[in-house]
Amino acid sequence: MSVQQAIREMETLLGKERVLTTIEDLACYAFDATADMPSHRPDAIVLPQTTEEVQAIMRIASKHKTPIYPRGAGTNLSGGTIPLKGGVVVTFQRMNKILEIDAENLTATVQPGVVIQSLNTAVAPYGLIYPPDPGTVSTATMAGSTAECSGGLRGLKYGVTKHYIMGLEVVLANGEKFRCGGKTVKNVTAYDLVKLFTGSEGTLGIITELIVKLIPAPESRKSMLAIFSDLDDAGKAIAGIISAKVIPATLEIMDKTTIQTVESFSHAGLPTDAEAVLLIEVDGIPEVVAKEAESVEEVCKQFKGNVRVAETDKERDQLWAARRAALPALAQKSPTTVLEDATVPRSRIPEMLRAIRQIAKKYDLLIGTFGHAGDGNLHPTILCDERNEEQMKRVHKAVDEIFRVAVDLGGTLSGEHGIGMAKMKYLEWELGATGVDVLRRIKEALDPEYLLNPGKMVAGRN
Amino acid sequence: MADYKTLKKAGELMQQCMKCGNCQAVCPLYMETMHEGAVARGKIRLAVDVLEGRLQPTHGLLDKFALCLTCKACEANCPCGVHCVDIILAARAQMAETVGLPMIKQSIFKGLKLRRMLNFGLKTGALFQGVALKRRSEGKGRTMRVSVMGMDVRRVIPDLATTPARDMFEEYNPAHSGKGKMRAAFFTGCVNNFIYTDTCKAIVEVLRANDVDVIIPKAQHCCGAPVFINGDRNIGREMARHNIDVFTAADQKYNLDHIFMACGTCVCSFAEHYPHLLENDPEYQRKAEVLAKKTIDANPLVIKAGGLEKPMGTIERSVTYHDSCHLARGMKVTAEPRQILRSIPGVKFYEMTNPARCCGGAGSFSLTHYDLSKQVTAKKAADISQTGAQTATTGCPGCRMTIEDGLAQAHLAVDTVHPIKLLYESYKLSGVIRD
Repeated sequence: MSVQQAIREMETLLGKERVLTTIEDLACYAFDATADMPSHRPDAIVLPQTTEEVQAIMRIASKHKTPIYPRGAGTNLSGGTIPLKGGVVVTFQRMNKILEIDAENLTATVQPGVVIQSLNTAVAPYGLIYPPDPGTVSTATMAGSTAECSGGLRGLKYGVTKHYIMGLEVVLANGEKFRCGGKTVKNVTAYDLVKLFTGSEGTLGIITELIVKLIPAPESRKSMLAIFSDLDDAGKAIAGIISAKVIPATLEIMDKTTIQTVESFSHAGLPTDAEAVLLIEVDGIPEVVAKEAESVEEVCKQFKGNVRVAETDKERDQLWAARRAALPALAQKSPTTVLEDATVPRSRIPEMLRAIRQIAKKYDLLIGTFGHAGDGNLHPTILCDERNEEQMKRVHKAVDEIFRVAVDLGGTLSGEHGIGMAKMKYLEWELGATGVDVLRRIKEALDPEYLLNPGKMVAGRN
Repeated sequence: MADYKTLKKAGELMQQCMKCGNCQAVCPLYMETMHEGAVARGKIRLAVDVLEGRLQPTHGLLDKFALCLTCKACEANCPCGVHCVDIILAARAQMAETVGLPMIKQSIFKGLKLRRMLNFGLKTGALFQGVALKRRSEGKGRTMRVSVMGMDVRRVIPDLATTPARDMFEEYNPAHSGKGKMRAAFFTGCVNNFIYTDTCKAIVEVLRANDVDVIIPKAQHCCGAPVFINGDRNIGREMARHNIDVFTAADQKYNLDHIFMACGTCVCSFAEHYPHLLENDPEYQRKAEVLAKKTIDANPLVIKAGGLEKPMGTIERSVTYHDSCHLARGMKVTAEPRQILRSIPGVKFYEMTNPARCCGGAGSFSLTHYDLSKQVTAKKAADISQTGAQTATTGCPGCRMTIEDGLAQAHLAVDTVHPIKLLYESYKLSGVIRD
């Protein structure tokens, strides 16, 4: 078999120690963090240490038409790293060096396998931060989160991964490599190829080095929690905060189901009859933070919110503990947790929350919704059991409807998790047939044989 | 058809894992290997595959499940509260019972089971250790002339005591005052008994100085953790039943308030593992639960007995403390040893980075996976070294042995003791304890 031939050549290239092929090893790389996805074992896992090795791997793969799946920590939520069609998983944990911290240019140059948190720890002594903070910040890798274009809690004020990627080194399907972008704030040379590969989910090329933007760490911060007994009031408060010219670092919402679940799980002191809770944090220069916190408090009270302001770090941690408990609390209620990331313009959040509630009722499902209200990115979380076939049919219908509503409200299929395997079938709703064809043409221009992460985002022609 | 009952039972626990991968952030073995199979999430998927028939039990699979320090760091960091270690231990037991443990482990465990043989062997070993082991030119301990029982020859191992701790005491050791207010039985554990007799002596005397009658049942045996943690539940159960008999008899004879240990793993055996291990044996399970309720680590016991209210002499020393995984995450004992150290006049306490990160020893893991274990231990030695402390303390003799090796490999001259040993020295200086 040609896959086996390719693996043998990779063994010659890397040595047997860096090519894993036992059935027990293969089973460990058949899945990622996504729920309700098929798992599939690869034929091998390879561990390159240099860009040149990645190029050689790609040359072998294209000679033998072997599918290749780049993988960081495997923590994505779109089925993005599942080796669906067999072939070889290329894992980047051994390319995990921070190559340079350039405090003068506010950049860092890193290898693909650096964990996001490690970069933040390394730049902290310079008083700098790398802002993208997905929930997996302490495990996810830089190239993985760049390929998936992850978001996080601070998206409203600080944006998402794509706003911090300045330059890339990329290995193409045929084994050639090139660099795009760089350390300059301004760069309009040709097409924005950095943005093209950011969020390309491993389908266009393999990222082997990154230059990222750093910013000064905010000096201070203030957190508060506002409880609402009416969903529309919460919606008005969200709009009101922005109208008051405050852009909080985080502006999070939890719906009634989530509040009740969190409360019974961790007794954080949330009122279980509340319709919605907002968690808000402002950060920056102390004087500005004080003023902004005051404005936020005023707006929330204006819309009948019951506000609690954290005065100490301990109180802050208590407020955030409730938000952090949201997903675990929901997850513990059922064996399977289907977590989506439908996103709408922030003004449409109350409508979206109501629609989700109706969908839950229609399909007799428990759906807790929480998420990043400030940027409209919600996480409807369906509690189910993947062993229950009949229930899973209802879950899939509900998911279809949630995305339909999100797109109809002027939103998007994915705020931060990406398309992967999970949302391919909805792409036409948002991009239209022509848009999907544009994706296909880009894909085929760079990877005509569909060797890179096949079965994700762009379906082949057959 | 193999009996998958226990793994099946763990199946519900496996369902709670949502595969988020948060365990990667804290797993000491993942940090070294960067392999999905080394971290809880990967091993849970392997267990699911076995349960659902997609993987057959093999020695290769057993090797994968062997890659776990049982340090429970994953459990502490798991958003869903998955009992990862329980799943891994169930899988190990299942694999071991289906395909059999490797010969080397089988013979060691069979040897461990035989109490008199173990006692005789280690006492004889103490007399003849000079033959097989050579003294190192620097520091304490010895290295092997030839590899024994699969142990790596580079490893620095401590001296065996010529008189084991249990032989140093009577069964009944009354409070110094003669007016005991509390009765506590000491389960010494093997490493304390045969190697760290200084720990045993210090704890027994400190307790006696605080009006505690200390009972040391002579027929006690290895707690069995090395055996059942590696998957041999049958021998593990035999050893559990033996110790339950010995301590139930002591309880009947002396009406014990407590059973105490100075080992993170032994204390978990009594407090946590025995009742689970014997769940199909109602009579013994009931007895195990009576004992579990009385089980306590020596650090909190000393504080409970009023040990910090006695006059103490000054010990000018900088000290740090390493949390044993099983003591910290199993028994939730973290504050008490620090409280003891901080209350000794003259002791300057320095917290190390990640004090509760596994030292890498994990019992027989360091025998079977010495290189990997050594990498983890090297990080601990570096963390200790960075505090600048003269003395590293820990509540577990297994950790102490590992750390001593780590410090020796890094050529660091740091002393290692149990926290209560320092309290004992302080008592001696103040005259609370006289030789």
